[in-house]
Amino acid sequence: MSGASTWTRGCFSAISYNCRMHDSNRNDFDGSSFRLESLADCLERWLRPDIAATDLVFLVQRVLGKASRMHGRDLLPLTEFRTESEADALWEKVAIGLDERGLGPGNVRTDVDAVFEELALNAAQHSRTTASCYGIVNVCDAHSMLPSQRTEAELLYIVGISDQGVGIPNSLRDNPLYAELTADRDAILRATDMDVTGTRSQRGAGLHHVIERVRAYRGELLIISGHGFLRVSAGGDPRAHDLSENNSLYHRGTTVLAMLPVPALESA
Amino acid sequence: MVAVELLRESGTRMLGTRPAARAMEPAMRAASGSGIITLDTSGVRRIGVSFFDEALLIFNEIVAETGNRELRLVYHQAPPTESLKNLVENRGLALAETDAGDWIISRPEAF
Repeated sequence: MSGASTWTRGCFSAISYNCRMHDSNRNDFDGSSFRLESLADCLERWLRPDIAATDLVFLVQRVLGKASRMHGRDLLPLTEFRTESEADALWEKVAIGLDERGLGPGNVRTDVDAVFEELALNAAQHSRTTASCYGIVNVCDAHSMLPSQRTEAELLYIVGISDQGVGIPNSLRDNPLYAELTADRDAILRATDMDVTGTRSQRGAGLHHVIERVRAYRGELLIISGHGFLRVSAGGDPRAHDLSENNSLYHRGTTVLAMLPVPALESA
Repeated sequence: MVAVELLRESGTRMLGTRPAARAMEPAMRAASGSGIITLDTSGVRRIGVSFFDEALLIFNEIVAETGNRELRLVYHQAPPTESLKNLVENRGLALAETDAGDWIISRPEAF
């Protein structure tokens, strides 16, 4: 399987399509005016506080596309899954890979695979689609990937999960308690609270835990779903926004990108 | 005291979901009569957030039903994911660690 091309065609087709449709005056998406040569370029732009949502979406695609093409340090190459048991199998593969390679302190490694597990499980459980979900886990040299103010970190773990299901906002609104959350950005933000879920079970700790972990490492998180996105930047509070001012941008399903900068040897 | 052997009960080394935790409920209830529910994690590679959280909820249900506020939930050989500790307080519980690496969870007033 050609990972990058599958990723581009599968996971981000909806994003790219909509971006092209509604931003036809821009040349960003074919790279002609937004040329990025490396993953570091992508990350550096992604970390800018003033980046536009459309560029953010584009950069996620590029970050994951480039991460999927990196050789030797991919803990999980771009991989397709559908069911909970397949997600669990990938989780074990990631956990074994992390343990065997011994990259970073033990508590960091278990946090990385916990982030992957929660996001993958969410995709398999809640996307409600027969279309595939995709996951990727990569580890990079943080010094070469992040801007200079982040050089205390030595490794950068990248976790990406994408599905083309109903999306977080629609899933959450199935629960009558949250049916009034009409704005997708508000629904995504609410979904990160403890015990908030689209089912009536009043369970749900996964996204809350993911955000806690990302913030603990002063990491980066992006959740794109429907018409909205949520971003955690440099370990700050989660902030939710519309993908576009007039709701013209829409991501069918949910895509999450988490980046955890960590020390190589010392405890985080 | 009979420990709930998670690997034997579940048949898997990766315990991630809430249903997987619910599958442990009968064994947890059976063990609760002794005053300590011990979950033996030997052979288990990882315990996920949802599994861990659901086990806490089962524990709280047993405390509520039996009225035994001294009941303890012990993870024999703590799960490797330390950040799971953060979930304990969310469920109104407290956690102590032993030198042997066990996690002891109970109602705060029981400590």
